[in-house]
Formats: sequence, C-alpha cells, structure tokens
Amino acid sequence: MKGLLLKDFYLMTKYCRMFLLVIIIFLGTAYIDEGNIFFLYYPVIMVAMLPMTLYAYDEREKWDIYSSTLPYSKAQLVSVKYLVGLFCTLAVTACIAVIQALYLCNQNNFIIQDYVDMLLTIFLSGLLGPSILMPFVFRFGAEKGRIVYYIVLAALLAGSMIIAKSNVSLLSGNMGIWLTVALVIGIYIISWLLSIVFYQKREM
Amino acid sequence: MNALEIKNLTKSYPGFTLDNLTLTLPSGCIMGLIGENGAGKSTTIKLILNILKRDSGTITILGKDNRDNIRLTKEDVGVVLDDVGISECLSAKQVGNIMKHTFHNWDESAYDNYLRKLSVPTNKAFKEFSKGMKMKLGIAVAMSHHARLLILDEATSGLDPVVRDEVIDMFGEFTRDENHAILISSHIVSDLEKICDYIAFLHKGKLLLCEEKDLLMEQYGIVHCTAQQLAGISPSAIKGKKESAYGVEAIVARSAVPTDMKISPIDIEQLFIFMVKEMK
Repeated sequence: MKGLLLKDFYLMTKYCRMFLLVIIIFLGTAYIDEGNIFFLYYPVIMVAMLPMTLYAYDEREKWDIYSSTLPYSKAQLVSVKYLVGLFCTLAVTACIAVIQALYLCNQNNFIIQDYVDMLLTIFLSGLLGPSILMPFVFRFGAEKGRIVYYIVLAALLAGSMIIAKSNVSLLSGNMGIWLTVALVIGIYIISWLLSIVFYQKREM
Repeated sequence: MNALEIKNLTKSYPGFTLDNLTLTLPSGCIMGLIGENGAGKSTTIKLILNILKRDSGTITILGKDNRDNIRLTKEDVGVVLDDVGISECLSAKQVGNIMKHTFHNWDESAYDNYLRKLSVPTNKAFKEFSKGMKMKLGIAVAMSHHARLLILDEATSGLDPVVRDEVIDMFGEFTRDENHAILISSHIVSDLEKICDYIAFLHKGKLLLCEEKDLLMEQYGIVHCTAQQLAGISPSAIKGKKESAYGVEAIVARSAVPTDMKISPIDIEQLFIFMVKEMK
C-alpha cells in the first residue's frame, strides 16, 4: 500500500497547493483575529474533503480502473483514502494546536481543559465529513458524491458557526468528551468498512 | 500450461451481452483479440482481471481461478489499458517510484532500459505526453516487473509506425520465453497479423472464431468468381462473400474449392471483414 500512499502524496503536492495556501492564510487570520473559531475550523473541514478530491482526480484520469489491474485489493484502494484523510486531519489539527497555544499563551488565558476540548472538537469535525461522504463516493462515484459533498459542507459550516456563536462546547464533562470521541471514531471505522463493501461490489 | 483459459464466459449489460466466450491461450504464444469498437474486447479484458464480475463461466489465469487471490496473480500480469490510466501529474520517474512499492518483482534497471529504448522522458508530466508516449510508458511499466502474462488493450494504437514496429518486436522477444504469453486486443488488424500465433474474432459480444493464425491462412483463401461458380461450392465452406456487378469475391475453405478455380491467399483483415459482413 506504500505505492498508493506515495501516489496520493505526489498528487497532493501538485493539485493541493491551494489547499495549503488557504490553510496558512486561515490559521494566520485566526491568530490575528483573536482566535476566531471560524478560521480555526475551516481548514480542518477543507482538508477533510481531500480524500474525495483525490478520488475525483483518480476517476477523471482513469487511475481507478488502472489501479484495479495492479496487485492491490479493493480494501487497500479504499483504505489509502481513509489513511490520507486521517493523516491530513491530524497534521492540520497539530498546526491549529500550535497556533491556538501561541494565541492563548499570549493572552494569558491558557486553560488546558478548554484547549483540549476545542482541539478534539476540531479533529472530530475533520473525521466526520469524510465519514459521511466517502461511502457515497465509493458507491456512486465522485460526481454524484460531489452533490452530497456540498450538502455536508454546508451543514458542517453551519454547525461550526452555531458552535462559534453560542460559545457552547459539545463536549461537556469528561464522560461526554470520551463518548463523543468514541462515537466519531466508531462512525469513521463503520464508514471505512462500508466503503470497502461498496467498492468491492462496484463495477468499473 | 495454458496462460489463460476462458470457458463459457457470459456477461450481460443493458443492450450488450458477451455471450458464452470460450478461448485458450497457451504459454509461449500471442493471441490477438480482434473486433470492431463495442465488440466486447475491453469487457473481456476487464472480466479476465476481475474488474468486472462475470455472470457465468470460468476464467483461469496462469493456472489459477481469477477470483482466487487475484492480488497475487496480478503480480505476474502486466496490463496496458487503452486509456493507460496513469495520473496526469506524474512523471515517469515518479511512476517508477510508485511501482517499486507496488510490485514485489519490480526491476528498476529494466524499467530504465525500457524508458530509454522507447525514448520516454523521465521528468516530464504524463499530461504533457502524446497519446503514443503515454502508451509507451504504460508498456514500460507492464514489462518491468517480470510478468508472465501481458494483457494489452489497444496498446499499439496511437504509436507511430516505427515505434509500433519496435514495440511489436519487444512483444515477440517477450514470448521467446515459453512461460510468457500475451493477449492483445486491437482493431488495427495488421498489427496483430504480424505477431500473433492465435487469432480470436469478436463481433457484438460473440466469438466468431478462435484459431491458430497459420492454420487460418492455410485453411482459407479468397476466390474471385461468378455467382454460378460460387454456387458449386458447399455453403458451409463459405465464410463470407461480397457480390458486385463484376462477380463475387468470397472467403472459402481451400479444401472445398474445385482444383480448376484460382484461389488467392487471404490476410486476417480480409477474413475478419468478410465474416463480420456475413453476420450482418
């Protein structure tokens, strides 16, 4: 599967440079704009769409068919997209963690529990998007999956805005945090398995 | 051992059925799959590679059912598709790096040699390649992991005549090893005529014939005669005919032609065209 990961890495370095630029601008803006939560959430939501973007390129360039002739199982072809999504969401969350820590320290307002809660919320939001999207993409292809993408993106943005405005944490209390973490990770794993089943049944 | 065995393969789509296809490709041989666009060549290849699921029949690749651990079998199969399918932003060098981590038997020096031999630039993006250049990169990849079976879907289309000749020589060289075999599909019949040991004709999802090329050339000939003269030949010996105001041109089994009738050698393209027209 190393070959597939390498291929997606090459694709990201060519096609996703704008993603990187937007993420840097948004994180920079979040720092300047007194930790504006919208600018912290948006990069992770954007990066969560990476697996679908990469799959859309695969489909357009007929890599999806060619890769089926290579010694990879359908499960591996699906898994690589989930791994890319996971690694990229982790990487962006790490960047947000640094920016937010710098901002909070600068404000002398660093409360560890709030900080961890916020990072977890951001990370889990990043996982939720592809969890919902990817089974549709692997079942129907990127074009039809794109329609679902816009609906989910709008819903996630609206959700982020509500969270940002109401200043309410979805993860209240230790129990609540870990239940939410378990729930989102569970959804991610179920989505992963569902995508494998859908892709195994799909004919090119 | 047979490199490929297909028995009673059937696959139906709305408006198209690949109907009860049976063919065998022995090791050490090249089989040409000839058919017009939409005849079922690509469907057959996708079924062989288990990209499509068959409705019925059996497919055996290198002695193994193509549904049993196909991942392992694909280590021994080199594939070139008509669209190639390599990502547009990748260079030949990057493709090599990816394949190094894909095939256990990836041979980097063989790959470099093929790229040099076929004049494929190593650092240019795939999207900047011409159709022929894209095909050459696909061929270089397919031949660089010590595959025992090459499956080539329209792999010579888009190549200029000089490179096509060079590639055909490479395929010939490949099958000098008796453990190697090639299944190549094309609608450019002249390419296949040069290199193939076996010829299979597909038309509208049906196999019209599958035979050794030399046997076909020996068995059939073309006669130019009158309709009356043709009536004297058994209808079962006539594979196809073309009637005009000047007489009849027909592909016939040589054994059924009277000794006083002049018979000319046929080429595979003529045989294919006559047979397809006869079906219509």
